[in-house]
Amino acid sequence: MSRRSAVSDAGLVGRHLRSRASTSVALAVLVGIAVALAALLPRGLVLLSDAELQHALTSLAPGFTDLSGVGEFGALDTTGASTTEQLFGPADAVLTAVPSGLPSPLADSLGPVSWVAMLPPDFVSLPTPRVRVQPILGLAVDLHWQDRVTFIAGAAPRPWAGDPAVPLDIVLSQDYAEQAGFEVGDLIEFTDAPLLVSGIYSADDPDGAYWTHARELRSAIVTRPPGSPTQVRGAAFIDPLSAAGLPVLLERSELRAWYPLEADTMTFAEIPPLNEQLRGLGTLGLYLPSGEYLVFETELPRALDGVTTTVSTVTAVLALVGSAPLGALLAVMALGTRTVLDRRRATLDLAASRGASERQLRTTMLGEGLLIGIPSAVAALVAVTLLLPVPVGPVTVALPILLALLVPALFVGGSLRSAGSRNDLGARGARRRWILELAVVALAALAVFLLVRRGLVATEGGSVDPLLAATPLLLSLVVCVVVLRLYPLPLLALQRAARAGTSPVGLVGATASIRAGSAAFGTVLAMVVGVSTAAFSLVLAATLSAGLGTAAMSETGADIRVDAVALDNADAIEAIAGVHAVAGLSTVGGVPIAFGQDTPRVTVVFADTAALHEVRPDIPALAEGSILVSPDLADRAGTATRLNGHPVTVAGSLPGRALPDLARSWVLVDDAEAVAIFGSERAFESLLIATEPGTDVAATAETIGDLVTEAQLTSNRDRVEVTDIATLRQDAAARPSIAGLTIALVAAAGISLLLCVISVALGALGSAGSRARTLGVLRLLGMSPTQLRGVLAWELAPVTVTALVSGIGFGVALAVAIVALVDLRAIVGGSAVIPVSIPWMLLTGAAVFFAAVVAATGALSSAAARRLTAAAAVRMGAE
Amino acid sequence: MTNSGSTNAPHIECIDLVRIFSAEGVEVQALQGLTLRVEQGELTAIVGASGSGKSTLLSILSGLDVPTAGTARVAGHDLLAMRSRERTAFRRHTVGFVWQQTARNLVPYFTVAENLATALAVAKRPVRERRQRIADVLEPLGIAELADRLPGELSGGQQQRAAIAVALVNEPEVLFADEPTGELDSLNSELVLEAMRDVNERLGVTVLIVTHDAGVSSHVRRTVQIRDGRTSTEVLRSTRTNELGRSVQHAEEFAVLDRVGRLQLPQDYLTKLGLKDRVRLDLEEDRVEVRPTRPEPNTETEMKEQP
Repeated sequence: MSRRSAVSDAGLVGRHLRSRASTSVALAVLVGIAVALAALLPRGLVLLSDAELQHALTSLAPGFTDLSGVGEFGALDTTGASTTEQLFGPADAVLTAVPSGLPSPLADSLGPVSWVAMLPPDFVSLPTPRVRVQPILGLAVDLHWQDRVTFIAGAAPRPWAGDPAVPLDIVLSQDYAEQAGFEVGDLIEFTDAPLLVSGIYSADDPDGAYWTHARELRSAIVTRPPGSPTQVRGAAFIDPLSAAGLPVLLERSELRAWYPLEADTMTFAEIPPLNEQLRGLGTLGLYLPSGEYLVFETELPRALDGVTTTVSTVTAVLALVGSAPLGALLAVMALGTRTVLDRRRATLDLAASRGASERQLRTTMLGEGLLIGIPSAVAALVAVTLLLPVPVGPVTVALPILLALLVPALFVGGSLRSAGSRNDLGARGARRRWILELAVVALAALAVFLLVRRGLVATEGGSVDPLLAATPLLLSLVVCVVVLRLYPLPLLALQRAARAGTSPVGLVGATASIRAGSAAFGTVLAMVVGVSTAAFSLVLAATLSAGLGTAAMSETGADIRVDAVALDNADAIEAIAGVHAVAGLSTVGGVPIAFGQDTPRVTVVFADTAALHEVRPDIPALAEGSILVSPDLADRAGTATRLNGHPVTVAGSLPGRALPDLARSWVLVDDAEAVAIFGSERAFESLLIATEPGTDVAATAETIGDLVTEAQLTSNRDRVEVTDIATLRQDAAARPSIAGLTIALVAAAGISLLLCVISVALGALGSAGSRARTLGVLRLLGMSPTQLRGVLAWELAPVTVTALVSGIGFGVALAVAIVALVDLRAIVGGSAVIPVSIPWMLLTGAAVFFAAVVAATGALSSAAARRLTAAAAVRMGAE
Repeated sequence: MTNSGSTNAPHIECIDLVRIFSAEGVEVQALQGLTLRVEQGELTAIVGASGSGKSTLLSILSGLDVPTAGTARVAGHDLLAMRSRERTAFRRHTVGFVWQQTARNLVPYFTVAENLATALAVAKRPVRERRQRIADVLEPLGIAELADRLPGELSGGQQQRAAIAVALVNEPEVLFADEPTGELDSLNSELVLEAMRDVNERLGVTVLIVTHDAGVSSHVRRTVQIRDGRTSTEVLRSTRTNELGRSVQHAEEFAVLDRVGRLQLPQDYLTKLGLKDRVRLDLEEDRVEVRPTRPEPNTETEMKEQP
């Protein structure tokens, strides 16, 4: 009979699913996006945490995080040892084997051992010294020393058999040889045997980790004890075999062994076990074959703790930011599901009236839901997993799965009744709404209570905390509930006003908006959540950005700061283009100040306070004889006191962090008083420089740096340090945590606004039929196109205005609360408290943009309705 | 399951049927104690003005809606006591229906055959029987060649006949039709009504047509008029042979008396005799007389005070 018609169940269901597939495909795409976002966020967080860890570890000084052990070398059986292997092999083997005996992940993170034995240093001298210094020299044994140096003069030392009459060959670092006045061929007096300088070397990688563990082998350490000649301390390599002739010294020598931490393979997830193992190792130590004991220490746990704190805070903020767009996405998905269901409802009604059981209907809907939800979710999940092959925990896998199952669940659980059917007796619907709303409010209250009790930032970090993620969403649901309850009130007032007026537009529009009521819940939720997330993200991004400036300022004290041994070119710097003012500072520690009987010692900062006031308008210029004190002193100081015996007046106090790098108790004095208080002029050690607005601060800082360096003595040039807030900010902003957070905040704002637009479009699409009917009737009643546009505007305007007002209000309030509760210093660094900064202009711009986009979307989706002829629309109404 | 075979039970029976809708606090009483009996194999039309409750009655009888109070039985099924499983079976096997709008009869993206197949699939008829069954139903309705067309490709009359085919495909005992000719011209109306009469006569299916079109009554033997949610009058049509040997149509109109003795008087009677508020009832030997009261100015106020 029929070739085209299907009669089998599968054929019929297939035909049913293929019809009107466009909305289903759109919904499937939405599911894919939701799943991809839900899968991306935790993976991105893992990557961000790892990147932050890498950044933090690699920005530390080399060798800082190595696991290093120090102990006595201990007695060694030197008899008959004729090779280095025989002599040091056993000890080297034990030290090499240390990582393999440690638990994972510590064992995997440690690189190969380096070790050096430092024999006890002693005073040495030339028979006729070339310079007036007291050299102190230790001998050092390193099996691989020749790989680390380049000879500048002479040759490698020969092995020494222990004969006190024969000189022992040593090689010296270039710096030590210069400072101590030694040259190749010099015979140096030493206790066990004369030392012969056979060569002078320079370190191949002077900044490498090796030299931080054995600094005295790279350069001399010069100290000038009062009343004694300058001491030049250093060490010299000997041929390792020579150590066999110095058994006593070798036994007492200090063994330094260290294992570099291979940061590039370390992941954030390994931090907790790693920290525990490192702390355990620090208390346990290690026994050597000589019976000696090696004490391990590392700065790594401290660095790791810092990273953990940063990442925890970033995670918390990201969870707060990320959950809300996910909520908007859920609302949009629910809207989309409703649209698809509405399109199917007529068919379902028909099948039901023909005797389809509820199970048959729900099975068909489940099938469609699964077809929409599962393939796109799987595709998104596979794509994300291939794109970011990062292992994630079970909780983070659960969220995408739940999202994928949401559409089938909504399809199965959705109402089978037509929206247009008449209601039964009783107000069960109204009661159910109250119960639902109370449940939402109660849940939100519970979440806030739990969060306040527990604290916002979970300590472990690195994974999304469900409670933290759910709370803003629940709060925005509460806002929606309140909004939907309250927003008919102004509309009712408008309706009353419209009744009195002559224009029908306001009356029809206001009435329609009131009647739409809770039917618009999905749209309102998506818009409130979307707008509030955008507002929250923008405020937080602005606060972070301002926070970076605050943190940089607390480090430099001004736009640019220059530190050097002595600075006397303030005038020359002030002449540089773009420089507004320059103030010199010098500090002296341990100066007594009299508070009655009490004379605590304080740090005195001398500054050209008139210039300082120019640089820092918050610090006043000081009159002669007056001082400013740090807050801790302010409580104790009267008005008149004596500084180093000189009478001064306390003019007031400054915040503790007003000037950078200062200890707790300090006093600011004008440098004109320096002679009176100390009897001599003070050279400035720091310059604080303010730049003109619009100046390229980093470039100016570079110019200033060149100028200052040139003016310095050659020996002091490497002590010139120039920092500027632009570079500091730039460096900070480039840190993975901050860069990632900024990207996430901006993305969250963008995605939220996009979701709002989609929800508006879906809402308009969903009500297209009824709108077309209403407009058809209104047109038949004689409304002009302008009036019809007015009615259309009424459909969107109240919801949009409400969403904007409540969304921005809620978003800003949430951001203010979060900034108050979460210490953002953990992210941006610095010591000054980060105040919230609200970018009103940007928020207004975003609101205007949003309103414009909504208006455009509404206009586009209504264009179709307007194209219908009035007759067709009214005919549709009859059906 | 069904006791339609028993001789004295009517095939469709409604006693004091009440249906109240509520929307935003406003209650609408669509049926106000309607009583109706239809015997098996009868072809009956229910005629009433818009809002008289006829569509509500049909929704209840076809198992799509539940009455607020009263008794409703169709082919032995008590519509108030039905559980969801029985209701599903009732819709599948006992009743078929045809609505006025195509959208409520046919799935727009299914062909005629697929629409029939859907009804068969819903009733879990084996796939191998379906094509034959579809052909068997379409053939007598004269639309066998339209099986592969979509509803949108059919004329109004063809759509309604396709709807009748869908309604009949699961061999129901009762066929309900709600304004089946509402959107059709007179020729197509004729065709559709003839198809229904044919079904009634050929298959013995009880047919109940609800319409506001008084013209339909000329096609059926019995017409029941409902007003304000109650049956008011009935017209019985019979064919008699007159003295010349010709068959002539004979129609007789009756008022319907309910169980407690209420009846509705036709509107034109009321107007003509000025019957209003109170009337005088007199019992005569073989009838009851209804007469208007003559208003007397003095007594009227008195009587108002004494209800």
